[in-house]
Amino acid sequence: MSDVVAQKKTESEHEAEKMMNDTTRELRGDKKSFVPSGGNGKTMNNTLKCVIVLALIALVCVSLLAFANKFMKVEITLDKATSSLINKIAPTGVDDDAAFGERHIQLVDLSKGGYAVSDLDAYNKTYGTSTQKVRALYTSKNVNTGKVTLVVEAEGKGHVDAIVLLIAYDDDNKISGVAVKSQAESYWDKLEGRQDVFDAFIGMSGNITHSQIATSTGATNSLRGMADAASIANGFVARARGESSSAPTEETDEAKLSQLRKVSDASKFTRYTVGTATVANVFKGDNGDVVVEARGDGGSYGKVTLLVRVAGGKVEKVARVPGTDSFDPTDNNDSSVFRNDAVLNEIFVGKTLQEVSGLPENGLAGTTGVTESGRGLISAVKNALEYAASFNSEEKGE
Amino acid sequence: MDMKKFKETALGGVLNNPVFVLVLGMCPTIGMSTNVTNALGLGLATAFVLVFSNVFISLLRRVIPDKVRLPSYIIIIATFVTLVKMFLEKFLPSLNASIGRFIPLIVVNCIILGRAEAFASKNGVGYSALDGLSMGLGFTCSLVILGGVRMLLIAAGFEVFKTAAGGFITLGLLMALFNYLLGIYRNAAKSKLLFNGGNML
Repeated sequence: MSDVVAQKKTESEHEAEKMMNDTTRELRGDKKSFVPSGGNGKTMNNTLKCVIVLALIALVCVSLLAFANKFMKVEITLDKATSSLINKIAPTGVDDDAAFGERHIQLVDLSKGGYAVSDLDAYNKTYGTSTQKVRALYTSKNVNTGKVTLVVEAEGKGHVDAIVLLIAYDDDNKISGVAVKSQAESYWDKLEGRQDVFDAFIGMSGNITHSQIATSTGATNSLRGMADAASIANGFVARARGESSSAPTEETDEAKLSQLRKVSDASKFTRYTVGTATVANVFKGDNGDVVVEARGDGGSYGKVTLLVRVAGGKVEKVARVPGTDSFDPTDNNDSSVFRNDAVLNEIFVGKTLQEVSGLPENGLAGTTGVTESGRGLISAVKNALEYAASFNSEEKGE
Repeated sequence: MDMKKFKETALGGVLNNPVFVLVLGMCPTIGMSTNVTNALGLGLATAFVLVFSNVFISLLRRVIPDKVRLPSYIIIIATFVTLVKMFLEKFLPSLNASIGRFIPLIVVNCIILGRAEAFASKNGVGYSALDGLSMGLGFTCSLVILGGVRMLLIAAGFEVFKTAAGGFITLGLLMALFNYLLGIYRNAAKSKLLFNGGNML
């Protein structure tokens, strides 16, 4: 009888053991497990069957998820908690209950018009990335002054998950207030009490890198997520107000001019502000040169900004914009190879978008161990080529 | 219906409790048992995935070739985990904010893959659903008990029980208690079998 008990007790152990043995046999490549008896035809049939069954299961699962997504897609609504946060960064002049109840703070329905951007999904497809997107636009009306402040809800990928920020803007599209709507960061306590970090966003516009906000916080990835969210929100608010189209905004300053001289011989440039996460500006020289100031994401090595002169769909010249990237300056490979304009030109000049896309991320310039930095540089040049193509077609259209 | 098999399957969540007996799924068990709400949320999410992945795998058990069974199981389990994640994001955002990071980890929870391999791939849909439900509820109850005890201890001022070390200590003590009680039950069942010719579980 004790045997019966023992048998019951160890049933789960037997099952676990069998599972382990099966898996080990497969991992070892045991012939009994992997090669069915019979000729090559049978092996082919079995292999085909495996592929077809796996593909069918994947197809059914994807269909199920696509169907569920229609009903469970998260739609942004204005709740009281969000309204209270907005009231702090864009004050309505009344308390939180009144601001929410009397609708001084409202969620903007972009499809009803009034803004240059009418479809948020389409906007995110064009300008968003897998790590950053705009979620909603709100207005906050001050009852005393009648002034309406725009507040953008945007997210950037932090260390663990998305960090959702509410960002208020002044009339010059500069940040006037930042609040965190949600986050699930494991190192958030390192940022939570740092008011200087949140204050650093005030007055900023365009692309922001985490190093511009703060250094040595102990939560670099979270800070990067916040900077990414702010960057895409900055681009969005400028576009939504119709101030960031292809119309020339201003002539470039001396500092930028000296950078542009590295890639173009034009005597005068006109700047077209783009303000997205991937492209900051486009410069058109009086000699017809088109220079794109594009950014690439180098993963844990940060972001890099390059000036890329493009003509005929090919790269003509490249220069790194100093002080804008966050590649690790202590990394020998980064410093000696990727911070060297001559090396960059050797790699990229004369290449089309397709050729740049085909470059190996690792082993770029014959140097190994620089996969993430290489990825950042390749993506910056790709972004430049892609944007130059659309910029040129817009110009021709006009 | 085979009543013996039905009883064995239905009581699987107790007699082969995934946490206290099989010691599976320790990562979410320790990580999410600091309070009862999180424990209940994660337990029910895991139970949902267990039931539906067991049903799906049982339905397809004669179709899935032996060589690709593990990738097939993972695809099926991942689908249901994604559904749970979507549901939480849409309908329970506050719960999602607290347990959201552990939801994707359900895909690699040993309990689910273990039951798929050991039970659902060999049994019919009804028994597989019952097994998933039993194991899922067993896991949920274990998490809730652990969460409740830790909550009480934390409320009593023992801050150490907030940490993973405190979680392991609580788990160890509860595991000892559970297995002691289970031993008493098994002995009683054995005696019943000896003297009455009863049907021991």
